[in-house]
Formats: sequence, structure tokens, C-alpha cells
Amino acid sequence: MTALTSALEITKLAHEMHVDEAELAFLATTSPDDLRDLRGVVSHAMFSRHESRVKGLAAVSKKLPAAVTAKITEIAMGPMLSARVAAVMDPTDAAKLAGHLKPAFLADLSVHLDPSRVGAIIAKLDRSLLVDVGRRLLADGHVLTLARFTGVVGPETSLQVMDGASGAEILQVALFLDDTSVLDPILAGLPDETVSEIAAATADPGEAAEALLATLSEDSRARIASLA
Amino acid sequence: MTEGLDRLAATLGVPATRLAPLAAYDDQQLDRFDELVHGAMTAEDKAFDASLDEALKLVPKMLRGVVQKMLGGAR
Repeated sequence: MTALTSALEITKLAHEMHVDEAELAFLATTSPDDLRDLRGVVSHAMFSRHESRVKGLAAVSKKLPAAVTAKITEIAMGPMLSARVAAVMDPTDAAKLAGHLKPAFLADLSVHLDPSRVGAIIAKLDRSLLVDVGRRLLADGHVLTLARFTGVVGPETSLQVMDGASGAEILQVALFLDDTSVLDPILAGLPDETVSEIAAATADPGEAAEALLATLSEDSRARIASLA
Repeated sequence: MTEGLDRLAATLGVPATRLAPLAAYDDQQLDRFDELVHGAMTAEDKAFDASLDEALKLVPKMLRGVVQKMLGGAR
């Protein structure tokens, strides 16, 4: 299981560094915890390089009407820079701005966001917007990004995002979760049919199934077993 | 701690002890990792600067200097 969890952590680190995960394959013998820590170090180093300018942009945006900032954000700044600015904005201003941005743009921006920096903003957003953005991420195959946000948006919103998702898609999201404690409540809210699909996706006795089952409560494991 | 680890730590702005779990890797691997981190940072710098330039184009010329000042002198 450690080999798989290390491999999953390498994928996350590669995403952070915008490199092919094959480039980081040599790190496979590092423990998942150490890789998670390394990802935090890399993420912080990349973020802090532009922090003062990003804070300056956030200060400029505070002086403009949200609708004007939204236009500049979408037309000129693009998703990466906007994600950096969002992370240092006042949560109330950021939430107001998000209401003026297109969900498609917010989905692109989410790929560049560090969810741990924007929990206060997400808490202020309408659930319907979060669900819309989440479904776009799922449709575009951004399971890693979706997994990173799952722990921040909470099980109820996650369940709405995953309504209609296949068992295989949910399994992929589950494997990339940083906070696996959300998995039990999500599983409890899924219909038997979907859990049955997840059980089928984990049917191959392998590390994926083992990794998923290890994070679940006894009740959830029993439910999967009964529907397998 | 090896020189490779020291170089990587300097790039990441942390003490080499923070990267102790990577001490098992040789300098060649650590230098490659360092190169990838540098590459990621350079790519982000370029994307960041290009986005910033685009954003500044939307600011009226007479205010551009003020905004650049607010951005810490920009570039």
C-alpha cells in the first residue's frame, strides 16, 4: 500500500511542479508522509516568490468594483495569477469577486489553487457555484484537483458534485484525497448502485482497493463487501 | 548532508535539515530534482510576468505608475 500511496503523492508533487511524474519516479522509495511534506515545502517556495506583488495586486483589486476586477481577472490575469491573488485576498472580497467570474474560469483557476489557503473563501461561496465548478473539474478529468478540494468543501457539497459520477471516477478521487476522513460520510451518502460500482472498480485485489479500504470505517467496508 | 541537498535546500529556501528524508538520494538525483524545481519556478515566473503585463495593459496609462508602485515596483 505504501508504494501506491507514495506513487499518488508523487503525482501530486508533479502537479505542483508542472512536470511529468516520470521525472520524479526516483522518489518512489520516499515515504508518503515525507513526500507530502516535500510537496508543502515546494508549494510554499513557489508561492512565496511572488507574494509581495500578489499582495499588491490584491490591494489594487480592493480599490476597484468587483465587476471591473472580474473583467480584468478573466481577460488579462488568467487562471494561474488569479489563483495566487485569490489566496491572499480578504475572503469576503474574494467571495464577492468569485460571484462575478464565470464557473468555467473558476474551474481553470481551481487547478492552480492551494485549497489549504482558501478555506475561508470557499466557506463564503454558494454551494450551487461550488457544485457547478466541481462538476466541471470532474468532467475535465481533474480528479486530483477535485480530491484536494473535497476535504475543504465538505461531504454534502462533494456528494452533489459526484452525483452521477461513475464508481471508477469516485475511486480515483478517493485515492487522491489529502483528508481521508471525509470518505466515510461521502460513501454513506452514495446510493447502493454507485457503491456497487466502486466495489466493482476495486474488485481487482490490488493496492488501490487495499488503500481505499484501509481508510474506511468498518461499516463502510462491510457495505462495500455486501455490494461487491 | 550532501552538497546536492544543500543546493536544493537553498533553492527551496529551507534549511537542509528540513529535507533530511531526501538524504538517501545521491547528488545526481538531487541536482536533477533541483533543476526541475528551478524549471518550475522559471516557468511560473514567465507566466506570472506575462499575466501581470496583460493586466497592467488594462490600467489607464496615467494610473499605471501608481499601480506598479503598489505592486512593489513590478519589474
